[in-house]
Amino acid sequence: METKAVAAAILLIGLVATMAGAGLYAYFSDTETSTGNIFTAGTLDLKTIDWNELTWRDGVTATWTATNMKPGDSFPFDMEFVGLSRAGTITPGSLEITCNYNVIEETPQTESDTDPYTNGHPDTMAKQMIITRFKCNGTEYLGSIVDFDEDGKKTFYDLKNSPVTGLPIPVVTDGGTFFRLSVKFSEDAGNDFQGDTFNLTMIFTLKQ
Amino acid sequence: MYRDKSRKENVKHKQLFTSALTIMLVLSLVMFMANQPSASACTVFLGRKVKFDMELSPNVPLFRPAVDGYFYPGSPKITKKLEVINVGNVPFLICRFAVTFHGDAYLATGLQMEILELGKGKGEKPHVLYNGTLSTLSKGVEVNGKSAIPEGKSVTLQFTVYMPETAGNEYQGLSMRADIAVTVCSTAHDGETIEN
Repeated sequence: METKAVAAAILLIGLVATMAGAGLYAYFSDTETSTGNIFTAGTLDLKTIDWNELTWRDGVTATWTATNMKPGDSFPFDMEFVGLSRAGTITPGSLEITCNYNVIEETPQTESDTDPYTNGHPDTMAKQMIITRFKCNGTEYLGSIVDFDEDGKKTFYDLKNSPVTGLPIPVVTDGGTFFRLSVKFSEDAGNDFQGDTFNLTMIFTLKQ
Repeated sequence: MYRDKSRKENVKHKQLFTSALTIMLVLSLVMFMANQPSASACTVFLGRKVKFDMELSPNVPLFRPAVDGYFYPGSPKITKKLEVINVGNVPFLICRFAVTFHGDAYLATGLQMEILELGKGKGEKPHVLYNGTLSTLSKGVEVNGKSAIPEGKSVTLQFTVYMPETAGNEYQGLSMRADIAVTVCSTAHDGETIEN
């Protein structure tokens, strides 16, 4: 009899403890999903053509070529141009133009080339390459080039160090904005540049 | 003679104690299993039928480029609202978000998402549930919902997505689909007893 009472008591205590414990750990959850949300980043894409590559593409080559330059020579490049147009899903905010360059020394070295190492400091030659026309769709932007080294000339050195911004946004492909350039090799250029090749890369950047 | 009787009683008590302990263990296990989180369902809890269920509205994709436009560095923030409705009979809290990506998932590293639980009425300020990169949500993030949503009531979540100005060209043209999972938990999930 006593044993039965003890067993019943233990069982009762166990049941109450189990229920209390279960209550303390109880929680439910439910998850629902919002599906099919699409996130897409836009694109800015500038396309180019030039006078001798008449299909729109990502970059053109050898647009302006001047050979046998000597100090004081001008190169109006009347026929040469680069056409710019835009593809992509975002309407850009502006167009920026700048440049980069390097110098290739002749091989073998010309005796009269007084600086056979211009390739190591191409800025010296860039400072003798004067820009005399910088037109976008017929509008002259030469005044927008800052005379960075304050030498009284607008050169490719200045353009590299102070890009021209705020130029008109090219229209969509098959319309196009046309960019034209004229160059003069400065009278001040000395024998340091004899036989040297100035390799210019014009850089057109669409900005949002 | 007396010792013999005492020994027999001791053995009996031990057997009883072991049986009771076993029964308690089994019962505990059963209760524990019954209270594990389950998907939208009706659960019998301590003899009472509890309906723990929620719905999201609208039941259509929130973000669509055809409507919202494309993301780019510094692009306008896109804000959408999602209502969480209690269609069960147990109050709940927003407790977790998780997002599954399909396509160019790398785009998620360049997008920021802010999730607010909007208050009721003018005076109540929105409660920030999450603010960070969208990609972090792929792991699932536990959040602390502000208000318990009672039976038949709802709460509005506000999702804002944007691309910071510092994002670069690596995100150009990327596109992905995101499935946003919202989880609600009973208000008792932190140790309180459910009140039905």
